[in-house]
Amino acid sequence: MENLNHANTQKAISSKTLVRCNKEAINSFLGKTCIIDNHPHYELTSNPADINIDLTDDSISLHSSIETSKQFIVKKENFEYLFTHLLKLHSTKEDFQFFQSKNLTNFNKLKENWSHGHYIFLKLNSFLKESRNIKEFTQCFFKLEKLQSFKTIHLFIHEKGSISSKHIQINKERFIETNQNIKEFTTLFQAIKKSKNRSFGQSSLKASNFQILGTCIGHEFSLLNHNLILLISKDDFLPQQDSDVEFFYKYKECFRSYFEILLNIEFNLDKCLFIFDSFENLPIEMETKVKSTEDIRVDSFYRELLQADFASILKKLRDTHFNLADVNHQERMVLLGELLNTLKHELSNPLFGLQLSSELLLSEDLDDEHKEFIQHIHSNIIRSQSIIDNFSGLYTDTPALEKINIESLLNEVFTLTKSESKQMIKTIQFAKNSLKELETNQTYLAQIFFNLIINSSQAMKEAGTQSPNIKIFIETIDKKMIFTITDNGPGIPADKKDYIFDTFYTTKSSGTGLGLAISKRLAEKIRGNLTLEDSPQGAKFKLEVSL
Amino acid sequence: MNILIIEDEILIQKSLKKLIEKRGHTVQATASGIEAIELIKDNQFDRIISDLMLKDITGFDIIEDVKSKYSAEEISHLFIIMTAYSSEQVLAKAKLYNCKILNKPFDNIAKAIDIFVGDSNEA
Repeated sequence: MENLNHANTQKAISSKTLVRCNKEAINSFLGKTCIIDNHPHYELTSNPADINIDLTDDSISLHSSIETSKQFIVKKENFEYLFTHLLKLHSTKEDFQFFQSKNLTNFNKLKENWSHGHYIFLKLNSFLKESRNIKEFTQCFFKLEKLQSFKTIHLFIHEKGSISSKHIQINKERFIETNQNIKEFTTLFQAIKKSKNRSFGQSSLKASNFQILGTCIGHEFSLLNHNLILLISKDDFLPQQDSDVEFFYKYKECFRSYFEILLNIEFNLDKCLFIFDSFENLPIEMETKVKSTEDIRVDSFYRELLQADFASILKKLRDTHFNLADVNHQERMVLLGELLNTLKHELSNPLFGLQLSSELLLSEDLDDEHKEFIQHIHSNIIRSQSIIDNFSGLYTDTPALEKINIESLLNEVFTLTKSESKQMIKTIQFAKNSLKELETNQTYLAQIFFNLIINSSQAMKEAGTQSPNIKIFIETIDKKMIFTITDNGPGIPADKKDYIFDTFYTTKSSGTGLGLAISKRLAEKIRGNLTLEDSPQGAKFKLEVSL
Repeated sequence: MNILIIEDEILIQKSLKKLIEKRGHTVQATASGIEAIELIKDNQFDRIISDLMLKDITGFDIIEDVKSKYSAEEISHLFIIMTAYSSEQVLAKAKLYNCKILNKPFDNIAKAIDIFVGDSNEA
């Protein structure tokens, strides 16, 4: 009677099963068929899909990580039979063991990434929902803000134990899929694994049978059943931005988890379904039941991913500080970085030509007047070169330090700003205790003062300030050098105070909105801080630099 | 010394030519890599200074093309590559030919000229 009940339950569930593989397909998939004990059996030639096995005192339960809606429970007295069956299915005992621990590790990894990749995680989750396979999932990467400027993704997939590998080239519109020799795959995999900077070109990849335009960022993943290579390229020849490389480095584990899932689903679903199928035909007493959704939510890694409550998390994000302006700002910063890179590239050659020719002329016999002119040209060229260098340095390097005399630096800045600040009275005053020298990056510090003085001068000129003056007061307090820069101009309106350091924010009709933003960043680069102070009249900026 | 300069930025090319000539060397200059290959085939240069990214081909392409005329050993002394963009890949490739590589702009012009006209057997 009980047996009959079980049979009925089993039948009922079978009809509810989401996907059923037909036996024919399984046969061609596995290649081998054999009959044991008058029941159909299939021998597997490679690793089957994950089956989780939970042992309790009197029963053993089996459930698949892919087909989570179903679970098999076998009583103790039938263990032996079941194990024999499983061992027939799997070639070795080792295969068996990994079933138990695998999913847990994955899930914990994902949870770890959750903390620092909230947003990315959400995005990837939604991509996973939209995708049927790893190709489609990867194509969704182009929708990530951070990766929007990328054009092409290459995926190389090798199922461990197989003799060939797959190469999928993905861009926004389409996929190109080709088979690849395992040897080439291994060469590529090693090249990427050994590289430190994660940035590659055609030659450094030793890639002979596929094309990469310009440079790309690459990463290799050694997954449980697969080796995977991810290459992502902007199809241009500019060097990779550190921020992009960092992005990859930071979220690679996150990507890894998703790749693992998708590949396992894609390659193993059939195998898994087959194994389940075979259980149902075993001549032993077995209870089949549908797990409650609560169970599924708790222990199924895959289900959890697919059922995450995005709406509420998105709402939370929106309610805090996620807004479109930030996204736009980010986009512009990326654009600016690209622009600076291109500018540096395009300007440095002609400037170098000018530098060489002016040095050549200086070595000629010239009268003093001409020589002075050329000397000026030459020093201006050098200045332009260092400005370009420093601009691009803003995005990367830590500045070189040197001991500088503050007064002579400030006087130099005054000379440089002459065109704008001619009519202004400029004074430099040191407090009694103040140091006169500072170890810092001269160009950065000069650039900060340059921007402040230009801003001040322009504002006072525009407002028609009477007897305009700019004062710089220097003091040393608590291991800090403090520069206070004040003018007697119109000052900064209260409603604009919060925005003046924002990139691209400007009050000037011809301004770029970069001056103060860059100054603030430069200040941070030299271990300092630039702030706007309250002032009864005019504008007052304070620059603190740690000694 | 008989020197060839391959550089497509004319101001750099002319200035370098003059600066090296001032040291008493004979200098030929061209902006085209293809033309440079012809010049190298027809002449005996003691030193070939080439920009990496030329308008037509790269400095490395030139080296590849004249491999039949010179041994690897000779190439490593003969060629000096100038580049404004020395990525790791470029450095790796230069290492392959074992030739000197100079970054543009030069940190010190006089020293750069020293290297150009110097005996390349020294380090």
